Amino acid sequence: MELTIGFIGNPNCGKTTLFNDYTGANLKVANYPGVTVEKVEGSIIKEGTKIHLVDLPGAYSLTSYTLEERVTRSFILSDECDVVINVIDASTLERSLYLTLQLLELGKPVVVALNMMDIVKKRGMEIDLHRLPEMLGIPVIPVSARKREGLDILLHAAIHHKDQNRPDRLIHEHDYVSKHRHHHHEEYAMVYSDKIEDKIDDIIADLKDNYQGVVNERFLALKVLEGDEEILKKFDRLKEYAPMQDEIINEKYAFIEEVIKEVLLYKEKSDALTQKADRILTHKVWGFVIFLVVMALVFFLTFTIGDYIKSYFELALNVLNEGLSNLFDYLNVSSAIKSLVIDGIVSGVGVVITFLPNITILFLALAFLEDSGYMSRVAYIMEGIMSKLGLSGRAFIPMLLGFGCTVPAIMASRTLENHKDRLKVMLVTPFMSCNARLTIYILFSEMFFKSYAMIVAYSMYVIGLLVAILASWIIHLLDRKKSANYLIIELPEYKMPDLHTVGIYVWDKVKDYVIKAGTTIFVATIIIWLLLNLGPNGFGDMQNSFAALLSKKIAFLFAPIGLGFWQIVVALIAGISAKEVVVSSCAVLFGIANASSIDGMNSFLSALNAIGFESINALCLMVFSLLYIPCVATLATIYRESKSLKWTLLEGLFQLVVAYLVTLLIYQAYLLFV
Amino acid sequence: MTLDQGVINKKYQIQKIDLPSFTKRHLEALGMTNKCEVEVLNRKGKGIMMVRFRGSSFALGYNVTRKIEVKEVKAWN
Repeated sequence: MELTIGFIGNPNCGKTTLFNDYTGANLKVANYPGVTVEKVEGSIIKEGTKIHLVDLPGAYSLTSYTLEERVTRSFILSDECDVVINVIDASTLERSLYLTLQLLELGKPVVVALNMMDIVKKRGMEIDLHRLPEMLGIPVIPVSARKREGLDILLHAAIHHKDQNRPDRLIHEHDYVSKHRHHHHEEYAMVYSDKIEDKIDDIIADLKDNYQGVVNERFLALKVLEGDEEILKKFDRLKEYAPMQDEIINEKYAFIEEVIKEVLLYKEKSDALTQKADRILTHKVWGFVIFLVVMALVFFLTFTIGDYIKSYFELALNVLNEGLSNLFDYLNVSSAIKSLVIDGIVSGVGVVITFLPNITILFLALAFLEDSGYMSRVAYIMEGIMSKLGLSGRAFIPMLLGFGCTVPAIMASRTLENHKDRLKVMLVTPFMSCNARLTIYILFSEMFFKSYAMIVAYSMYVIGLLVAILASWIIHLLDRKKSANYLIIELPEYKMPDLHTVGIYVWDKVKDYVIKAGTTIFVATIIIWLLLNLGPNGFGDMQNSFAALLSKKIAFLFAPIGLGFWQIVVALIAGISAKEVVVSSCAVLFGIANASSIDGMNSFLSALNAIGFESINALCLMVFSLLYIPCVATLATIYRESKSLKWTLLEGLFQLVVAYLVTLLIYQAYLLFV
Repeated sequence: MTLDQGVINKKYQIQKIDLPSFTKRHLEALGMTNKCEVEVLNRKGKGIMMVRFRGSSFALGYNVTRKIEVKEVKAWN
């Protein structure tokens, strides 16, 4: 026997954690809305039944307004979905029941998973778990996704209820007496006033008369009355019915109030810690200062702890280099193969791997910020600034995620309702400095700026942020069809980050980084090595290699921005495949075996100084690397999200022009004043 | 009065939401319906606010708060 269960709930209700619990998947979860933007599937076998589990995007309702809601609604309405598990954050029961009532109207078997009961208890609230199922007519199972409690009984209930299309026994005690011809209180949890019920009956009759094979008639009738565009397009004869959205929504919430009054005790109790923390963290003046300090702390930890662990990676890389060199000598391996492995692959990929500790610390810090609930507050803190740029504070979340990796940041822009905002965010998010670029800053700032390395690297993040803000502002000024932005974002309670959730997040990113080192960077390194060692004169003459000849021809274009060195031009072109490749290419280009170690850096510095590459050139390289064409993975994501090749190419060109202009300004100002 | 004029720690009752239908529906789905009570938790600028209604907290931009008509709910003394 097979069964398909859809997990649906409000954003941030613990759906994905529950899905991970069952399937053993390691999907990313975060303490802010909009993390699951596509449906994700997994399978398990339980009680002799093969169960397909589908994690659906978080939704507050089942209208057809947002992409997440459309994905969720169409899946539940399809024949594919047998049972719906409605995951509810018990601490926000009142708001969550609105979606529950809409799900009940779809006519599919629904089981409620009442998650986060521990928070309810901690706050001092109480939920009557006997009365709630009586009023909704469906099973309500308390679970704790984080503690993996109640999981078996929840699936058992879902399997048991799979064929139940009518509610369990409903017990309501209403004050008013209905004069409606049907006694709907035995059939539906949500019964409207006679006026609306009469209209529903009329529409159902109309549907039966004019359309064949219609199912979910009551749901369709309600959607017609709600003026749902998608449904009205399909059943255009029903457009004549006057919309009653306000009445429907008000009556739903009136019923929810009735339920809450009966099942929820001490509902006014809220989390005192969150309120106290918010007074400080979202203060109108200090909120922004604290945000900057928090981000500075993130990078301080990335450098200090990251560098300490990095030294052990460098040691290991040295041992590997020496071991391979001795082995190749012992085996009499040709110098070309030895050079390819040691100067190419090990130097290139190895130097990228040595930055793994820094990257891990950066993601660990970002994961703590996300899971603690602070990320949503950043939308509030930044709303003032962002609204002046024609964006909502919510748009800052994808931009902030760009500090980690641009690819998920671009995808997170889907949560923005306005298409124009999404394009704008896609345009400026790549300016936010991602982890790949961190490798460039660490290497070059530590080589050229010694004790000021951390400040220089941090300034790259600030420059990226300022350029993104400035670019948004200019676009806003040029935009003739300005549209208003409406910030509405839920603020979850602060909580101690869950180690499992943080672990999944960090592991996911570290895995990506290592895979990238073993694939994109590995291939790019070999290509760079080949282009640097092969030329018209054959093998081994790097000065006359194909890469050198091509780069020397175009290096003059980079001279006004302080980067007119053919080796740097090669590294920058190669860096479009992945930004870490700038570092790995430099290691190959200058033949530095362990570029991030102290000895390696000294050799590297001497080699760079020998070609006239000084501190100002290093600064220009960092700024240009920060701002120029995004990596291939980012461009592919932009193309997928914007569905426009023109926009993707325009974005690449825009970034190249901005990078050139900003670096030109810095270098020319230096030449003018120093 | 409109919500953007609200004072921290005071409660207000929603009278009318004068926003584009998409935004209005979104707010209503979150529970901000007619006569619903809203508590102002924090505010800054002209009227960027942190509010609480139906047991959940939200951040609302000035473009939202200035379009929501409210009346103050007098506390019982």
